[in-house]
Amino acid sequence: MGFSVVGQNLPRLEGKEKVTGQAKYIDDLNFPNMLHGKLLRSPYPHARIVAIDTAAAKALPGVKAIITAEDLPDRRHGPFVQDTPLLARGKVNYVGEPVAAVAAVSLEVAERALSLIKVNYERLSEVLDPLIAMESDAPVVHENLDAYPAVFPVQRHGNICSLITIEDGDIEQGFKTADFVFEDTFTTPMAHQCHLETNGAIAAIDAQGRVTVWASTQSVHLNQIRIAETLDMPMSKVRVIQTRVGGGFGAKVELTVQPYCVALARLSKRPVKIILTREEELVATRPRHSSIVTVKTGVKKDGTLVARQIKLIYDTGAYADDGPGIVGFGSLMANGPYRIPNYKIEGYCVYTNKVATGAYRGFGNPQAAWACESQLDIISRELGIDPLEIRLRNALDPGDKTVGGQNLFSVGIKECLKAIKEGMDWESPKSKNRGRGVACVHHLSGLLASSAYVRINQDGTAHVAVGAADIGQGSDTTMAQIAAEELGLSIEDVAVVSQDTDSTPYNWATTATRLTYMAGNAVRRAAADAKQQLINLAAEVLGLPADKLSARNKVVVSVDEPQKRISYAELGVISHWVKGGQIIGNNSWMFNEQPFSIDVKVTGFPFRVLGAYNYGAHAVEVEVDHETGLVRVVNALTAHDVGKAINPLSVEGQSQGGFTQGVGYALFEDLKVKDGKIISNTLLDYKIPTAVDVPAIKSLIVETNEQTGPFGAKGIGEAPLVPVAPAIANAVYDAIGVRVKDLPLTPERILDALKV
Amino acid sequence: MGFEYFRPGSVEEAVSLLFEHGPQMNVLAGGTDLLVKIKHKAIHVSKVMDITGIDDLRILNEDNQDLIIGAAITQNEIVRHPIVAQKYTALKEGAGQLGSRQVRNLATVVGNICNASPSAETAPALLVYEAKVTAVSCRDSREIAIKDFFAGPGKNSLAPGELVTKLSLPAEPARSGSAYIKLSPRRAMDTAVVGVAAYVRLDSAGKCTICRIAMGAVAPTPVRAFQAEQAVIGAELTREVLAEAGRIAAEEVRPISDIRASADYRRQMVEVITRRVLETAWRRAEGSNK
Ligand SMILES: Cc1cc2nc3c(=O)[nH]c(=O)nc-3n(C[C@H](O)[C@H](O)[C@H](O)COP(=O)(O)OP(=O)(O)OC[C@H]3O[C@@H](n4cnc5c(N)ncnc54)[C@H](O)[C@@H]3O)c2cc1C
Repeated sequence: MGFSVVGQNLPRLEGKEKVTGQAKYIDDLNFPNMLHGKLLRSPYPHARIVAIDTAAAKALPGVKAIITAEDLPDRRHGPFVQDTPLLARGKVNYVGEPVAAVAAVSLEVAERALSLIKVNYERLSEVLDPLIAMESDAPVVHENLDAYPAVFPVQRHGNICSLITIEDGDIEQGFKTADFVFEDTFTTPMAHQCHLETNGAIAAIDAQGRVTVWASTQSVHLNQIRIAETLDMPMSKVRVIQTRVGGGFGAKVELTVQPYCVALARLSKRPVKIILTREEELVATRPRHSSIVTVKTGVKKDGTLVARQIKLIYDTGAYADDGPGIVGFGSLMANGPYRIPNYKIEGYCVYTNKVATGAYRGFGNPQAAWACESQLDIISRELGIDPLEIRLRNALDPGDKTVGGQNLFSVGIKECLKAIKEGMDWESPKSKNRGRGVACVHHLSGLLASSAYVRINQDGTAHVAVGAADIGQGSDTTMAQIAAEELGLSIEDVAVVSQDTDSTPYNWATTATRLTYMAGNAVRRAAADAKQQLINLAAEVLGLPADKLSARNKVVVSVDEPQKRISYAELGVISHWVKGGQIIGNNSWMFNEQPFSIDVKVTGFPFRVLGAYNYGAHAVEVEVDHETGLVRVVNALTAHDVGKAINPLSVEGQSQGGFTQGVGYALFEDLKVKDGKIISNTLLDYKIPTAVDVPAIKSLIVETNEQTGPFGAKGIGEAPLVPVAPAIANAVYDAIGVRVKDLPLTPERILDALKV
Repeated sequence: MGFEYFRPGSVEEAVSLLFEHGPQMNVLAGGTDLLVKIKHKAIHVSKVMDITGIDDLRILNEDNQDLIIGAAITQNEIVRHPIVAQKYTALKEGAGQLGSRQVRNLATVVGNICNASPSAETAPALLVYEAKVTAVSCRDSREIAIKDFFAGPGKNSLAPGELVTKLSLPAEPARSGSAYIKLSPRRAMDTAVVGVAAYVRLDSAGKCTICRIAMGAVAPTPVRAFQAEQAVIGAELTREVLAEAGRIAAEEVRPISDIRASADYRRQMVEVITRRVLETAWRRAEGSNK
């Protein structure tokens, strides 16, 4: 099928606005009489709050509102388990937990006010290590765990926030039939999203008592729901508008500062802005879970995987947030894009007295892939099989089922592996101290619901409204391409409505590699609906049967008598002035394949529907200085099966961005905790890669046709980060023969490994 | 966070402002250290004096064969200067690896040493060239040997009211060479875990007549490795001599463990980097006929 807009390398619709500095981010907005808010945060990892005295702070001139837990509805929130108070209630559970919020005429006054709030704490013993937290005599983070409502059949006790198990085949028998069994344990640190724009929001209340929130967010809809829930307001009284967003990577899905802005604005009756500092971001927002993953794999001599047992322990910190979802998702992804007949996967989400962790590109997959893709390399070297070859031998094919038993339609993992094998010239000789590594990924595009509507304007152009929040990844352009293609318009004829809960219909969020696939499906179907209405109207006007008409290039035309035609512009005028009223197509969509077949034993799984799987393989070449332990990535090749690439340029951008973040995860990034406090609290000590730390990345696109996706599309967003760390570690092994099982691969770890 | 801003047009005006306002007055050159500290509230500043408008501080040239670097000269001006590239390679390499291009466009060499970080990128090079620091007050002017300039982490040895106006680096004869190696996990925008500079001068037979080695990030101030230098002076270039110098240097240092590296790793790296940088400097000396 020939496409005219889909598949084009189109530049971003908002590209010019951004590169010329005209884009308005949250901190560019200011309102008359606006106040500035600041949060008072806990200095202790675990302490009882005996008393809070705000009198002196309230008396400070310029202070307009102060709130503590007392001023808020007594309720906890959370996407999976409702365990989180907006402001600490009774006790604090991590260093950085918000205890009070202040709004004042200036930031300086707000900061001074914070220093005048006296909180009397009584220290409690804390638990910082998830393994200790899992012991029965450990200090307890949440005494009333059982009282917290959960949105899924949660299994929990003590500090175990949730336990997920997935089991299929016969694991005992599987290990018996194996020629070799390998068991290894791998760890990863907490890692921060480091979106360039920090979190921020402004709230203002109008004369009707309706709240408007402007936010740097990945979902106006989730923000609206959560604000309504936490502050006891009907959703009809909450409007959320998205500003331009400088990156999110998962950090801007759930609430950050929004509810404090709203509560302070209600109290002060003035607009309130809160922007987090970089230090607040690093110490008190939701980074990626640290993990301990143990993998036991049974394998035949020829490399065939026959059995696997995995235990994942993810440290969720003080609150669940997305933790149960992340552990569930990590468990589901852990086997990788391979056929493994017998497996048992257990995922533990564990509370500790550290910062609450959350969603970050990959959603539990990077930790699992680090372990399993590293171990597959160990296995291949032990068996004397090429690491790329062992992957090819076990890789899934179309028609296979994945973990849990969901049917797979499009599966391009083998094509990805072949593409990097050729592209990297895999078997060519290497120079000294250089090594090559490979790793694979599979990931979902999907989850939850999306909706869209398409209006045909009087002049025949279209407005597309979809709750797909563009956070820099380019979804506005992709949505416009999908709508234009379906409607037979050019990209210039399509406007994408800015995110506003008053005008864009529900979409869960920009997460889960889901916009192209989920929101794209809704947009395509809404556009098809509008197109059909155009055709029906044309049929009436032209006096021809609708099924003898086709719509493209802005005209509806008779299939048999092409001279009989009517333009969209004419139809627009007719619909607005003569007949029927404005044409509006709409669609609401959810993925509806069953995630689990009946013979699979699943407990505590947090999602009801999943989505389509996308695939990828990366190859890297590294150079290791065996005296200093420094690793340099000198060559990088990525290949991703994204279904149909709606905008190949964007797919490449995502591949390269994900790879770059993966280099940080592999080599530098580590949110270090000392005595319960995050000490990597600046970008000097929390090191993300710079342009010179990353080689030119060659990104290949493997196109398959996903029958459930819009024009065959799946997605790309998260996958490119996932295989990078194991690919680099595998290359390090190839270069110098040492295996590091803990991220990041610091020079000291490399040297220590060399010494053994 | 507001402060009063002054922009004198001459050294005389600058030093009298320093005298008049006392310790409240903070000198601002590129501001890449000062503003970070103000922003992080590490210091409270009420008055700032910007010295980049003083023409006399914008000197960068050879004077009686000494190289003069004015206090307003930026790292990138150093990096791009042909004489620096030709004769003061270690300085070029130090300045060229400081921060990022954007930072180097603002940051000054003098600001780097006045800030007196133990890992100051240009300090090891200036130490091996035995640079002199000219400090001017409204009463007098004096020269401070660079090795006496650093007083502790973040402390220099300027007296109240003194302004550094320039650095002088002695002329470089033929058969001398220098190099600087920065070790940091990230290849830009990073603080050195260890930084070592070496300077070697050879006689006509290829024996070393002068050797100077200086290190950053391994002690409370940037330091010379005097004992390691002794092992090299009089020697010819051999693997053993280089290895020995590295070993001695590693024994001389007093590194600490911090968030960036352990003391052990730093010590080990002093050995490796000293050996490497010495070899590079030596090869440059052999190849030079300036
Ligand atoms: C992003 C970033 C990365 C950086 N990376 C590095 C790096 O890799 N290596 C490194 O060494 N540094 C680094 N720095 C620190 C800084 O850039 C350097 O130390 C720089 O050379 C300081 O010069 P400046 O002109 O900006 O100093 P300023 O900030 O203007 O001054 C620094 C200090 O010296 C005093 N001072 C300045 N000039 C004089 C004078 N003439 N007389 C008396 N006192 C004076 C000031 O009062 C102040 O206390 C980095 C800084 C940033 C922001």
